[in-house]
Amino acid sequence: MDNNEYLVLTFESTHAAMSAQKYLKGKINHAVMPVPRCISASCGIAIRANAQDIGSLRQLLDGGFPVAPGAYSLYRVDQQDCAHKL
Amino acid sequence: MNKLVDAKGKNCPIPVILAKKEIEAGENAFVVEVDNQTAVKNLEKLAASRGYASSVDEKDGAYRVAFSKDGEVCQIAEEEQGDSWVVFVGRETLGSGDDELGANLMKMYFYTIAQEKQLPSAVLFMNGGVKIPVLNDQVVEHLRDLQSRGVEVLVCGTCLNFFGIADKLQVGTVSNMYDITQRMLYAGKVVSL
Repeated sequence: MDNNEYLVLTFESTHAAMSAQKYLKGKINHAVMPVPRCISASCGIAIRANAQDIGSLRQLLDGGFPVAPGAYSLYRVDQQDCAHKL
Repeated sequence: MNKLVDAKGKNCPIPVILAKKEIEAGENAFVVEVDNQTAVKNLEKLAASRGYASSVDEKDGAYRVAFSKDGEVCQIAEEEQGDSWVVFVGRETLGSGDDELGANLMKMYFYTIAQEKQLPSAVLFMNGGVKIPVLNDQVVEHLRDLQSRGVEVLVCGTCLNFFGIADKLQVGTVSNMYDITQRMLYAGKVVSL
């Protein structure tokens, strides 16, 4: 993991975060991380993905993702650690 | 004449423990006699970490490691030791309660540690903890990063053998109880997960 721009998925519950992590395993390069300090809401477990994988991540979120659309949020975190909701 | 501690024939970490007892008793100058180079090196490291000057004399296969204390150096060395810390991982998950949650917390712990500037001097894996540098791909990546920044990663070889995964270690050095105990002895703080 480098310190470039990256994507973060946050979740309303820890269970949602863990089921999302299980679903994404083997499908996209990702890491489990604490929710970045710049994002205040949601449970403590977040999923980090590479910024360039936005296309494939969106496809995974749209097809078969186990968490309902309202129960997670997707952010882009820039090099200054500022989060932008997508 | 300085006090002589005979540690010949004693395996590591006993000579270091004996020397530590002298230091803790406030001895400013003492000599530890050992019969192998490993013990000499470990005693020299102990002396440096506790602010003692050390010198070695060899005679007939026996080494006399002389410790002598300089107050000013001692203060600096103690501060340095206070800053050093090691992480001991004795299980595959962080905490108890739910294994899946614990596995995720472990990933998050190493993710966070790898973001910090003040790194541990070593991460030590034992018992079920040895599965992490073998099987946990995310933590393996964090450990590689930490290793490239000077953090020592030691993995209990006995434990790897027990679980039948010795040939699958992805990161770190296969180690033993002596080395792992040494890292704990020299550290200012041991964080046990």
